[in-house]
Amino acid sequence: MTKSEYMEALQNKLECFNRELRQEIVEDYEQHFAEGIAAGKTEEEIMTELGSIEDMIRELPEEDIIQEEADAQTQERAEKSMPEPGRQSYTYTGEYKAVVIDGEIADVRLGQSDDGRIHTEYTNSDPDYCYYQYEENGTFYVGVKRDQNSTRAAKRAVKFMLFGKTVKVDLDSSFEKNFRNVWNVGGGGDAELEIRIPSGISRVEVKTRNADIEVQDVAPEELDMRTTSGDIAIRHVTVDRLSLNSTSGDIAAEQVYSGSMDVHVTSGDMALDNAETGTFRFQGASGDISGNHVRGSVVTIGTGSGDVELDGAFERYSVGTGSGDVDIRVKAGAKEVRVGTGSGDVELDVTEVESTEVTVGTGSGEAVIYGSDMARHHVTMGSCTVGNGECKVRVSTGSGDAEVRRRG
Amino acid sequence: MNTQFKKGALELCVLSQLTRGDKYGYELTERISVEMSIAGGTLYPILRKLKEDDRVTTYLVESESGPARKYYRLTDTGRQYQRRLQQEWEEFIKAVNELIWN
Repeated sequence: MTKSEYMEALQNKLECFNRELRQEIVEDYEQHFAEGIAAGKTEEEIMTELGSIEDMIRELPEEDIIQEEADAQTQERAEKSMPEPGRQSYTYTGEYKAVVIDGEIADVRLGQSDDGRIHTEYTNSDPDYCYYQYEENGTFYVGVKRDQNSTRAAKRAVKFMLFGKTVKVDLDSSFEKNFRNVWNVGGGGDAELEIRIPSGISRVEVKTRNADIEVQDVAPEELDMRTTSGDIAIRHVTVDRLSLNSTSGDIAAEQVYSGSMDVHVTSGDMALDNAETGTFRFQGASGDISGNHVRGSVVTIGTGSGDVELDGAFERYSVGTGSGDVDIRVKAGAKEVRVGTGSGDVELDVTEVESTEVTVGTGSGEAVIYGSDMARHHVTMGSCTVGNGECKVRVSTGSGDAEVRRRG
Repeated sequence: MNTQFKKGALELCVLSQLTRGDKYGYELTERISVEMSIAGGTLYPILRKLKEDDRVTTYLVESESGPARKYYRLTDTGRQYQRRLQQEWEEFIKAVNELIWN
């Protein structure tokens, strides 16, 4: 650390104290450095002597903390200098192999550009955030970040009681980053970042924290979207690889054509409509998944308590849930169907498949296989197999009930 | 060591040094750190507190080493306060020694 870094750290740590105290301590330290240097010491030695700034801060009287007052002041300043909801538009010319968009608190809308250039438009009324753009190794980075110069983004401190002692904590950016979501504070809400990209970009990455993502009419090779609590909407997109990640936001996708689609959600729901994908992998905890008019070769779905509802044509189905219910309508051409649940119920319709071999098994639930000829095979605690067709269907539950309908 | 205890002891050290004449901050930290290991910076809040409680006054003297030196001088109440602290300290040391040796 250099002297100026040390002094800067000192200034920052003193921020929540009144001006007069701040000034005096800084002067004392400056004087100390000057004396030390004059005595032939190095800055390093002097800093070691002065010791940790935190130790010194602890000696300062609590009465001189002006946190509330300071906050009120900066708040007022920020409000006064709040700009009118501004709109910034930019156009970029260049060859890019990848585009990385980080909307943070701004909703992101991504679409197609017709003139071979990248267009961006940023609308925001939150003075804490600003637009940024840069390029590195052929990648185009654009997004929204906290404005370091913003008055409200200035470092703040909070005081709280711990083990009977008063503790001060600086609300630095990493602290806020970690706890902002927990406290659900901040976030412009009306911030929006609109990007239009030309075709030919191979990789596109879009992320936000609590803002929504909307993607339409683009066709990169790879598309990666992630959000913490925003929703994701995709429409009319053709890609080789699609990856979607959401913690609590919902995902809606329609007219998606993808070589592979990987989806991870925690509590958000997913709705997929009119999609074609080589492999479709969905992993969820409590979120539900519903798919309609979906085609592909392999579908793998795993959820904890989320329900699964699927009406789609795949060659292979593999679906597992803990307590979630499963309702699947299997289309002609299926070769293998595997469904397993813990306590969830299963409804499976394989009547469109020419010839099947259906095995159901359950621990304490009730499993029934219905044939189109009104035949009815029933089993509790155990398993039974009906038919010897080409398509193997296996259903097992722990305590859940199962109902399978087949032809013949 | 209990920080409250150490802080009290440091305060006594500072005051006692000032009974031997006015001193500036750097001089005090240098003198004290010869005898004990302290974070020199912690003296400044102590000095500030002493000034606020009117136990010391300060005055500036131009210096060749850079910014003006801020000298600390004991006030009459500071002097009384130092004597009281010193007395408390001696009684305390006596009690501790008693318990250590007997």
